[in-house]
Amino acid sequence: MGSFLKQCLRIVLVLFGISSIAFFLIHLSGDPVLLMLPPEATQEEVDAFRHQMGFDKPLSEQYVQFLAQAVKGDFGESLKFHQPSLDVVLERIPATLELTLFATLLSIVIAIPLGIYSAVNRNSLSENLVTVAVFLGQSMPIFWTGIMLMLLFGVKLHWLPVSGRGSWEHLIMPAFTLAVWVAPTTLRIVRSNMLEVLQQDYIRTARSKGLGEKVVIYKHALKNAAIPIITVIGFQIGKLLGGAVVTETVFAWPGVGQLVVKAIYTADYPLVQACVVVLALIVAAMNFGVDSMYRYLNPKIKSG
Amino acid sequence: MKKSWLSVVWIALLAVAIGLSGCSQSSSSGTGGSKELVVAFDSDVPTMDPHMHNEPNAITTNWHIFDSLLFLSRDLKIEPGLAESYEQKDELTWIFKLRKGVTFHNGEEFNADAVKFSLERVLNEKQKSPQRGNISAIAAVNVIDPYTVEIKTKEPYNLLPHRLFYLSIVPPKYVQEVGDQEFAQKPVGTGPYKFVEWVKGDKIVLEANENYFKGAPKIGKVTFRIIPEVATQIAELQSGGVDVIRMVPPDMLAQIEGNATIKVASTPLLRVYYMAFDTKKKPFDDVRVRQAMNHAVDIDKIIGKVLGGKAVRTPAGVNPTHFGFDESIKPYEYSPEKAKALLKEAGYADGFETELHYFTPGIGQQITDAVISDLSKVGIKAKAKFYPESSSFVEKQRAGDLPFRLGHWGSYSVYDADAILQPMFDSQGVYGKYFHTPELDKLIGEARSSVDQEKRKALYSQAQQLLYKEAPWIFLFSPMDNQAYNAKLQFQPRADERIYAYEIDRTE
Repeated sequence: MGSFLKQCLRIVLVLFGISSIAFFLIHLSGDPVLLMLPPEATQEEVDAFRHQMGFDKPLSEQYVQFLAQAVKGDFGESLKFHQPSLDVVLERIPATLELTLFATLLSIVIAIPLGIYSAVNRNSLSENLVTVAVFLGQSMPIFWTGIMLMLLFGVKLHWLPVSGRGSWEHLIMPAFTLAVWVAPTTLRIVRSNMLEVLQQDYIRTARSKGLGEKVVIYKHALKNAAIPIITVIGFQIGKLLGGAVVTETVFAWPGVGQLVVKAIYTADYPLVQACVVVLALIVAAMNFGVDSMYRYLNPKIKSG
Repeated sequence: MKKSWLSVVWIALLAVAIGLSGCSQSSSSGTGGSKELVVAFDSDVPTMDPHMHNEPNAITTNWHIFDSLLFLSRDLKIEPGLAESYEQKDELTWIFKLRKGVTFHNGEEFNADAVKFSLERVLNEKQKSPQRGNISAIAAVNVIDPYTVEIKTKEPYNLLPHRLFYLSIVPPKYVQEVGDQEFAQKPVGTGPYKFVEWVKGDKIVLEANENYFKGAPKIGKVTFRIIPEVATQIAELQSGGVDVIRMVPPDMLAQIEGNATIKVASTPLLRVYYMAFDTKKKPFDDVRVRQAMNHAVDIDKIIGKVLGGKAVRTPAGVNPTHFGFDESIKPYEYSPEKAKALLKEAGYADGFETELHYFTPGIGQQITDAVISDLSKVGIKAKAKFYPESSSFVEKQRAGDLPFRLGHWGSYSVYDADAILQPMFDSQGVYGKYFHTPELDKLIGEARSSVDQEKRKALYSQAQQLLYKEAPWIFLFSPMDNQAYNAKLQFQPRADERIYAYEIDRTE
């Protein structure tokens, strides 16, 4: 229980740090008032707006006020949508989670069998082919992968809808784009851990007992290689959320990624802050989940 | 180990994915005509409340749901809208006769009270409508009888009808009953299309209003899909996922042209691109330097190479579609020799060094590069200074800190020279401090308050001739809007950057 509380405290600290950084970075980047008002606005209108938004107060005062309200989930009204920023973000969260989780699933489906395969068939021709594929997958920019898939499966073959959200088919290309991007890292970890585990004594023992190769690999080896693999998959979720920013824009996927790009572009400060904090919360929660799974898999691990 | 951890994870993820995608499946059964139209938007609209924004996509959406007193036709003529006719009683008084028998989508009756309510809603400072400036010339709105409205202006204001094109008339009872917040989610208007649903960040769906006072629309269902990437928009157009896309960059036109299922139309825009000098700072305080720089840049070549020919020149800053454009003024001739001679006269025989500030992404950089290259041929070494985000640029521009900058101006879609001359060259205008003269102030002021269109035209000609000579800008061009659309559409683009489904039909 103590470790649970410690974890929660850690999440709170992380959120505090992230939101502070978001607050100061944004306030260093220029004057939002000029962006929000039409160019025809008079100086009086500019001053009035600045006062109304509280931008005329000292930065420290603005910061304290920001934190006090953020604790209550109030990030202020989005300058563009005239709605509480948090509401705008929460409306878009399901789409982003759907994409990220499905991409994670796809990347696992790609990475684990291929990782095991290349560990078991080390140095064969087919393993080299997997290595080349991994290299390609990692070095293609997400943007480019997305457009290429779109042109092939959407425009040329008409198999899948080009962009947007609505049905299963809409999910396939954006999720695959993300999965191809993150799968190689997972695959490498799977491969190296499997290689290591397969050389352990107990594997040799298991084999010498006459257990089938499948049982040896999946029951004995994979289970023991699992912990670092889960860690990596957990971290990947943070990376996927970052990748979703690009993917959502390319595929017109109505999630937080697209929203945050637009919010930064239009200097919608309250909205950017709400996006950043919500995304940080998701990543922190994921890491918490990974930690818990650790302990389930290996009770010997103590939380630090 | 009985439970394989992997299968647990898989089942959990699958369950979540199935659950989520189940929720997102939408089924919509449209009524009305079976013809559909899908239009791509580059960004979502901020609100459905027609009075609470100034954004092009939201204005396009409003146009479908709401009507205004007057319309602007495709060829930019004033047409009757909810007002059947109007007259100017005296310098300060306008009378609008309203159309009878029009109802809002919820059955509420349209009448003079709705007009008064709508105008006063925007004028009310507490409402904080960003459109207030647009009609701030109005002093009072009076109901004469249920179908007659009198509008009083604070001073003689010839542009009043122009300022009413984008002013949506909203239903007073409904707005008061449901409140501003609900109205901003579920709008009700008198327009040719009724609001169906708004999936934030994804799409807006409208269906035909069969009782529209000008007759039922031919297209039964309109969907605006939010697709931020141009490349994606083009892919959607090619696969039939959308029917119309706007603002195709010139270098991407080639990809579309030659495809038999897609047509491209280019319409002149009201926007004007320019490179402005701070005429109070050296060396731009010398008119000969400014003229020299106009001669030094080969703008026709830039239009041809950078914009694929899709632009028209604006010889004195005013756009050809502005009222008051003087077509007798010929653009500065490209002549490096003349430029060099003028520079020599001004005492800059060896040229000078300067910085060219810009933030416009996309064609901004290509234009800047081309201009810098041309300037170097007459000895002027200009260095590009790019601003990655617009706020610091706008900040400096307003403060008067940018002696030489690339800018563009859309005139708030007001087709009158006042909409560019006043903000840019009047000493009281937003950017007036960069260049103004007492004579120019007088011309702009007189034209603004005059109601005699011929006289205004003459005043604007004088202003343009003065500007041409004084060359406070390198006068660049007005780009065109390249719209690409499904060849099945009967579609003619509008000059005001709007896509209006009511004017569109399609063959199947």
